[in-house]
Amino acid sequence: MFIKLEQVSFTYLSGTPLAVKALKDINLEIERGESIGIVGRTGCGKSTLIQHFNALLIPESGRVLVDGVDTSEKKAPLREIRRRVGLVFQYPEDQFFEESVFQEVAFAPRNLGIEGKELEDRVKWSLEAVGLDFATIKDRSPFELSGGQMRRVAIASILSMEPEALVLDEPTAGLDPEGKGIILNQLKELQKEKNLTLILVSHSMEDLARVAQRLIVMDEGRIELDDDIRRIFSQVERIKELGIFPPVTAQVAWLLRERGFDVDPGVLTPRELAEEIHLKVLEGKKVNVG
Amino acid sequence: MWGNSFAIGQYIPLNSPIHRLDPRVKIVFVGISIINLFILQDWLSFLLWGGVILLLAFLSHISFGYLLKSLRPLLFLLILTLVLHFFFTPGEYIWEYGFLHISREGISKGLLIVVRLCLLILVTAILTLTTSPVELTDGIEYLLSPLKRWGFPAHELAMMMTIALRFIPTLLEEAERILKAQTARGMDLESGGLVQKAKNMIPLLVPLFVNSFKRADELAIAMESRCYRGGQGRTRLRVLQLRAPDYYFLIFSFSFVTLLSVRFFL
Repeated sequence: MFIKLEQVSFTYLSGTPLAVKALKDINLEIERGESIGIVGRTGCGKSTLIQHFNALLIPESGRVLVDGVDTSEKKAPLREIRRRVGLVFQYPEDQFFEESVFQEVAFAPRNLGIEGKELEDRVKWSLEAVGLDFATIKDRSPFELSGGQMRRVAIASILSMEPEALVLDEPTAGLDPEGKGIILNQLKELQKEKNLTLILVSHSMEDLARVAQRLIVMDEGRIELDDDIRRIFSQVERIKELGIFPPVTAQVAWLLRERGFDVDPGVLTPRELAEEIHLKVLEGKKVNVG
Repeated sequence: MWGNSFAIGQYIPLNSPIHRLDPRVKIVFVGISIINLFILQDWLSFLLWGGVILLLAFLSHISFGYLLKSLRPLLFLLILTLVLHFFFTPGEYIWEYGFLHISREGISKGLLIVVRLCLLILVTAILTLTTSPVELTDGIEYLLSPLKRWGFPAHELAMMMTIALRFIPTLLEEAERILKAQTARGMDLESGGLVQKAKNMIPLLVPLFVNSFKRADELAIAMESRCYRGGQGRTRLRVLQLRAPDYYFLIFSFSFVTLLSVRFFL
């Protein structure tokens, strides 16, 4: 068990008239190498939850174990926990402050005391892991890049700590479809190659369908559903109640089911959907087009 | 997300008789209270003022404990004032050690001044806890508008205050967000000497400034695209209007203050 939450509750501004209960009694287990999506309405506690994974927030009650280490312990090695569980915030390019991309990506490993050749190797590896060319980009200012490039540099600036888990809050928000595609593909590859634990918060079911295997649906500070992503997308009615709209592929499959076709609603990609329709609706018939 | 701990100026949105009062009335009340509290110097008056503050806290539905929290940022100042008065007021000494001595007059004067400061802070805290920043600036703009005749930029000043107040929580939220983001990247604020500590702040301050400039640009464009051209001919969505409770409150506060002042001068 890599990350484990036991009956975690959290309240913002605890003890004031403005107190807001953000997490209620959360139990969660995350294995190494899993790829998980977290969804829910705005304000359902997603961001609060992920900040517990790397000890930026300490639970009010209950406990969070990262590889067996309790984050609420007084002498918990917080920096080590934050290195192992890398957290990429929403709009991470807002945190840029260095003169060059190299310095920006080198900030985190430098804070861990890494210098010289190893530092350079790490920066190079991280930038290449997000699909950027080290030689051409390293000396540019992080502020003059395109939106998609900025986002990738920001992700690289966390990858350079060589985390074992990567948690991303809305990593594709505000990007064009091309930029989105690049980032999602790189993340998927990283997860496979490095056995990286990947946790993605997103409002885009299409994005999650491409990357995640397991889905956690939250509502009002609680985990309402936690299951295989295909099984969750098959429960169209239930997840709509929770403010989640399944990807278009699953919706089309569901509409076909309503019309009496035995189509699997747990289809994630257009290719899978086409296959299902071909097999179960058209019964393998080929129609000459044009 | 909601994180910040200073209560001074933190509006608590409730629906109480005090919240519903016209902001101008509340500002005038705080103004005359401050003058009154600076004139008075006897315990009975302060006791009466304490009673009035209790009453106002009760009427505003804000818990008295929470109100007292607004004293916390100034605790150091209060203690310093007390200590300075204890040790440096000449008079009948009741305790001596070397060149240090405490006088009876010092104790009574120190306590009196500290109580006065506390009352001042509490009165202003009631204003800021029960009046939203927007109402507050509306009230200030109205009260300053007679000065427009002499070229005083009352509207511009109020607009600047509104914008500044509006962006304090945004800035705090942003600072917290960036602090967290940099902490996730292993940022270290504590270690090193004074120069190093200042340098440690760079990853926090640079993004904060960059984002503030960006936001200011966007705000200017948003205001212009809604045809903002300053105060000339501008009408209000919420016109301030005095109602019966406002008059009662004014009459009450003026008679209370006059009573105490008359008692003092006689």
